Amino acid sequence: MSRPSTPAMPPAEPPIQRLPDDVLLHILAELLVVRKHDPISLHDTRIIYLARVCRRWREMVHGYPLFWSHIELDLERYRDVELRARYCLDRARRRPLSISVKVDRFRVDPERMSDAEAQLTRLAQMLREHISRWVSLSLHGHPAYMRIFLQSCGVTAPMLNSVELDSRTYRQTTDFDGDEITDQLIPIPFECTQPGIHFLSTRCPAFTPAFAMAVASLELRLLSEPTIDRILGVLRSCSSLVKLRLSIKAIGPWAAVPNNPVSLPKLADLFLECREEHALLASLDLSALEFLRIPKPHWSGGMVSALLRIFQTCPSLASIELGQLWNPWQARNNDTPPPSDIPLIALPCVTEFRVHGDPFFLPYQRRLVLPVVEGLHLEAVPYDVALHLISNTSRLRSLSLSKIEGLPHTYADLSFPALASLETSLSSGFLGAIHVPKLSSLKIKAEMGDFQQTPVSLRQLIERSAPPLTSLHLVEVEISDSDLLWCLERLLHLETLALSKCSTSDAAFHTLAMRSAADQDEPILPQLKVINLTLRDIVASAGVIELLSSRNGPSRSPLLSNVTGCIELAGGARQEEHDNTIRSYGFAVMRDQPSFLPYLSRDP
Amino acid sequence: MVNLVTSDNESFTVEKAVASRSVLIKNMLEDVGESDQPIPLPNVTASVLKKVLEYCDHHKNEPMPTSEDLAAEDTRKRTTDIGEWDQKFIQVDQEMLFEIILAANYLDIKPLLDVGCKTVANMIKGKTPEEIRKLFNIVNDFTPEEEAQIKKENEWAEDR
Repeated sequence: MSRPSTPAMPPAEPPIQRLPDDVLLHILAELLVVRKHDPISLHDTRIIYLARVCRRWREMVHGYPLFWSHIELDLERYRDVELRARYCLDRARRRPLSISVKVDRFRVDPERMSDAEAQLTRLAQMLREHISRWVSLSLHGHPAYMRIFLQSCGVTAPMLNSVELDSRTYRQTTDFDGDEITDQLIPIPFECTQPGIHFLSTRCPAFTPAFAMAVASLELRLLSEPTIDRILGVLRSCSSLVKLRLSIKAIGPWAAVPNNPVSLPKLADLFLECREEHALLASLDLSALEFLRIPKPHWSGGMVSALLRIFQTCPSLASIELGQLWNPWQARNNDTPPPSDIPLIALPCVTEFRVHGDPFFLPYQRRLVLPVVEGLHLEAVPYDVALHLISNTSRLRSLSLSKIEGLPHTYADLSFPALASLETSLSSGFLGAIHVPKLSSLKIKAEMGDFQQTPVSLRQLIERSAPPLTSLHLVEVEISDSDLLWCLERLLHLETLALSKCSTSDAAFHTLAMRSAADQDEPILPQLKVINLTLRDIVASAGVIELLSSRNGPSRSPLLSNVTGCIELAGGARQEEHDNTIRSYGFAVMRDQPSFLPYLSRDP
Repeated sequence: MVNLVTSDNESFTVEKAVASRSVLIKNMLEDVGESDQPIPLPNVTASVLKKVLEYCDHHKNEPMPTSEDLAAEDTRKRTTDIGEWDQKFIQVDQEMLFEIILAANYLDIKPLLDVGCKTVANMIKGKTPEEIRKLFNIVNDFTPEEEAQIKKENEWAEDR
């Protein structure tokens, strides 16, 4: 059935059947690729469907091992997983295998436990014959079933480089043997010799020594409350770890930080999410740490001590993230207050620093020195702390300031010679005081929950610095039409313009449209490629429509390129005619829900 | 400049950088050295070559695929979507689409072959065998008995 690789074929044959085998195979193989935002995966496409199109396709599909090397066995969904496994194994030939087993349904049907056990054992034994070719194993289901499968699937898996054990779809109730309460370890039987394994689990694993040594990336998303000794025991066995992500609900009862810390000499990347993160931090020796992320720190004296120890003992630390805006954990009021004589805390290698302020940590932030920091993201910190941090570096390339407190009445001049990206809620005096000659991206945003438009002195910033802005995003700010137009006239490099619920009037959009028209020798915003507008009205104004027409309509200036973007309008109800007009210019339309727009009620 | 002659005897004079997007032509140019000799392309018609050259011209300044890219046999790694320009470029009728794919294969223009194959794959996704046959005008050459047998063989693939 194979075809020669020449395009000359009888004309009566359908074009697709004129393709040589290797090209048709290329097309069918594309169906294996999972892409971002692709709602249809291989699973839905069904390889089997391809094999039912015609004889030629059937032969090709069955003869291509890659189609059969990803073996998905869903005991809940598929009719006969053993036949399915056998069918795939027969056709995968010598290809490396990715195996995914899901065992959901039996959890809700405990009477079928013995059936499930027998089926899983048979399945594991069948797959065990090919264990030398396993490259990834993913088990989804109750831990009891994971143990059954793992017990039966053998130990020597020389190519295995990824294991995922995920029981997160289960309710936190007692099922088999009270497993959820006792938090029994899951024994991992494999003995691998290949380093660089990624291991993810929602239960504490017990590795063989050889496997533990090969784990380079460990992700534990524990649903239960293991003891600190149990967690440290796992970490102690994995001395080759490079990346560690610990998301633990809470640690079980513990008295004191263990005396002998666990040494992880290769660990470069640590993510920690746990109520007692300070105990874990204090129990680790991390001499090679480069990235530290604690998204929800529970501030206390112990936490600060543990952090300071990390700062002192990790000379390669380059990126720190402490907290996020929505962090619900604030410092405990009854904790020991910080000392009054905190020495300077210099972090000479940190290039990226992100912090959400907390009263407990603020005195320490005032003593932080980040001489080479390039990215600084500060939330909910007083202005004097922000000023202290931004004044100690001349390398700042990206700065984000939000929920800044204790603002001064007047701002001293500040120069940011290397700053390329600025996102701030400081809109009035601050923008007029800074010098940013290299700024290419600017976002000015009113504080969250403040639906009053915030006055913004964008004109002063542009007058002072003449920045080469390529992206401008204004959110809920007040800027006069004349100031906005004055600024836009000077932004010759601007590629993206986003105005979200700002004070811009219809007349301003109309003027923008006029200045983009075909008869203009020097149309405004000559480099513009994207326009995103969020309007407060249900219907796009005439000025907005004119603007879209001037950019993408038949009368567009030959000097301008087509523009894409999205127009978001208030009101959930569809306004078909207006939406279609916007779409006709190549723009997407979105509609906001009026209940989230309290300012609407203020409008007459 | 390079002179290309199609199967229907039409000549195209293009920049070397454009023609060299085709590995076949690039190798031929290297073999013949500095020469004004036209390069015959007996498997490509003028209408298809015109379209292919439009693609090559648009991408002429991009780096050529590395041997590493070409060696990426595991298609799961090739997760790049089709670019915006390429999407518009490939919006042609089925006859032309498959002619472009054939030409890209013959001329050895891997990125264009990828765009064509991804486009056809996207057309196939989510469709039943009957829908695929109808879309591409493929004849169902299974006998009813064979179809019944295949269906029985593949019962395991059905959902519960």
